[in-house]
Amino acid sequence: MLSFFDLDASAKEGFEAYKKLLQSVETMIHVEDTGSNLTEREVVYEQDKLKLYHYKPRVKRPMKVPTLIVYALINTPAMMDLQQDRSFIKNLLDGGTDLYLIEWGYPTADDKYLTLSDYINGYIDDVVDFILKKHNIPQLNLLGVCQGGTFSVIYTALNQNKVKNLVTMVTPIDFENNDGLLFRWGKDLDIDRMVEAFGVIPGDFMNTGFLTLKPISLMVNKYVDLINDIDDIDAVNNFMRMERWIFDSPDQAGHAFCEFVNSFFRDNLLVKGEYALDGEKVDLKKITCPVLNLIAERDHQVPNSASTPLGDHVGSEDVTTRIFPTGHIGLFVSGRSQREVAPLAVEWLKERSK
Amino acid sequence: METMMNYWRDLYEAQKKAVEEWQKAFQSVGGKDAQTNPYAAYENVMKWWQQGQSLMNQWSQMMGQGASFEPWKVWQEQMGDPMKAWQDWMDNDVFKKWQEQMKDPVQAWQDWMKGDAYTVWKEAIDKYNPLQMSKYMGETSQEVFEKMLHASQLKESLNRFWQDLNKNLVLEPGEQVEKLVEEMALQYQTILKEHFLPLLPEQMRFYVESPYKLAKNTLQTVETFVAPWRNAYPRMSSLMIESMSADPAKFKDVLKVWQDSYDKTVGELIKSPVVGSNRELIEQQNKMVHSMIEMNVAMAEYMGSIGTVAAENAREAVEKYVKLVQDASEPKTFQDFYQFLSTDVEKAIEKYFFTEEFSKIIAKTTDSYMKFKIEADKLIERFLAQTPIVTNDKVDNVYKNVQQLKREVRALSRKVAELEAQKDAVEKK
Repeated sequence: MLSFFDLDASAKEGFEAYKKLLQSVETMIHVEDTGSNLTEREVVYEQDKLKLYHYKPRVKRPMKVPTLIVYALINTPAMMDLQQDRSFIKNLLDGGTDLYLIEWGYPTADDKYLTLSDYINGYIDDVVDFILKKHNIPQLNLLGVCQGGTFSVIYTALNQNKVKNLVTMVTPIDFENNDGLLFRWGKDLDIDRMVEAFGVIPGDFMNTGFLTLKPISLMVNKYVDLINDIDDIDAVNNFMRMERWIFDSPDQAGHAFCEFVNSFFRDNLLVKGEYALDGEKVDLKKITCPVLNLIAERDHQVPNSASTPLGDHVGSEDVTTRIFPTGHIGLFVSGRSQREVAPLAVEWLKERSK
Repeated sequence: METMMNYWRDLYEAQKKAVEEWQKAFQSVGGKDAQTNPYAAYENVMKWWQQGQSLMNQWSQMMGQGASFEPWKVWQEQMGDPMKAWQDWMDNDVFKKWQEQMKDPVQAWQDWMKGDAYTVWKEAIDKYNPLQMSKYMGETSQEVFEKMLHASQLKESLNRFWQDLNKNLVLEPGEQVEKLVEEMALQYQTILKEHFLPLLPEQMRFYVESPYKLAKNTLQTVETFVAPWRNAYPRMSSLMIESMSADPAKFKDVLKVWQDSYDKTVGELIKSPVVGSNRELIEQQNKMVHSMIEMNVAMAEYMGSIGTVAAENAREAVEKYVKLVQDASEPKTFQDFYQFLSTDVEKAIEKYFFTEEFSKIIAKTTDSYMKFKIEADKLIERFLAQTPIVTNDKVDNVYKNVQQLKREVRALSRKVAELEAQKDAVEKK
């Protein structure tokens, strides 16, 4: 038996790889991982660890109805303003939105007893009231991201009178599927015991879960690819910004985390119509405002089968669902996001914010 | 190929000279000459410094013409002047080891023969290795660079495996293929164990590293606080480490040592009427040890399950590759081979992760860790109960009450706002 692999080409490949690794030393010494959250903004409201940011409008006449971004409790919203040439937030502002953003902050041991009600009926509702009062308007637009999208859906169902339009991005709604590992494992994990052990669930624990979803890609190949791209300083800087964001994981308030996993991942109460917050049933049919549901086709964290059904459960007659051929994070930072996703969201909001 | 060999040979020569200069500088600065001729000492340090530059430049030359990488520049920036660099060098472990060796020349010679001198040499030369420069990087950069190195090591191991595989496929006749597949699958499995699995503990520390460290720390604490366990601890500890890394069956031995120790010491103690208030503490300690053993068994099962999948995948991957070679459609370069293999491994792991079996295993492992942490925390809290240190069980109720008070304040604030709004509405009328 003979093999005809190319010895010279392989040796050259190996040598080049080694040179790249050497070169990476200097690059990594001088690389920058700053440049996120640079879009101009100011804190306009604070409560406990929460900060509400208002972005400086980038057009003369922004939309009359402001938009509030509700991000997930996992990771930080820096991903939406990762760098100036890949900023979903900047694109929304350039399109004329008047933007607010909630930053949840970093929970500490004393936040163990925060519940989903504290987040949704407490913080989000207080922030909404603050913005409505500030603008002297009856309704605003809600834009929820991932878990923040689930919060936004619940909030809208309970407070439809305060929400003019609802935008959800990579948002899990129907948890009855095994397409995603988190959805698969979430059904077997004893979260109550986790909260008993930790009180506040460490952010590293969450990171471990996400890395496990694609171990070779996320723990090995990603870094091998970086060595290959080491000549491209912009690519390296981008990588470092993303890396910094990925591992900047706030801890999770124990009781809220437990409620979320048990009520949704394990029991799928939301789409069954059995979920109640502070004793009030959350009926998704009460969402009657226009809904824009943005989904990433290659999302390995929130599978499409968890996001797509939103339109089937809400009472609204104006539901737009769009699936983009990108990943969970790509929906915000990819070239396609800049070219297609943000402009679509802007146009959709503009038409409905008059 | 010849050019590459020249680079390596030149690099080796430069390394050799750098160490020679280092030794000369050591003799003149650290030895008797320093007392009589300080200038000679300075000259020798400068020679060592210049040889360092020469070595670094050798690395640069390997990068080829026009490359921007200048490790010497970076090294120089970090080190400042030659004498300071020398002093730093003198302060580090390499010097200390060297000094220790020099105290007893006979022993030094014996150590040299045993290979310790090689370690000293290697550590000395590593100071010049640009790949050791991660300590000059920022925190995130350092972490990323170290991950890049690990990833490279894995890739390099697979490169060697690929070359062996191809070499054997060329040499072996057709009927030997089955045997070859067995051998190569075994080699591949070893690579996965040695290079891929070590990546997991670092990343998946909540499943492997943290419980292990916690177990170790807790045992150390127990060892410090509770004398009866002192004799059993070293044996238990080493058995636990053995079973963590290689043989899960060793846990049975841990259990046995634990049981013996219990019967001989704590068991007797607990029966004694003088134990009194210590009884609860000892019982808590027992609960902690039980939960620790259960956790380690669960972790061994977890690691073992991934290892089994890796072994199965190893055989399949090699078989697939042999088939590709037979069809003359095998990857022609290592890069292509790596792509083929890594995609294959990831698919296998992903497939396994999605099974109900693995979901149960990861849930069991996590749960056992949580149980252990709960019991270990309780034990530590009992130890701290008599000290002024505020423990979690004491402050937990405060967290709960503060949260409840915040909710009440929020509800009252909303009522006040509603009443004010009603009042404004009435006044406007």
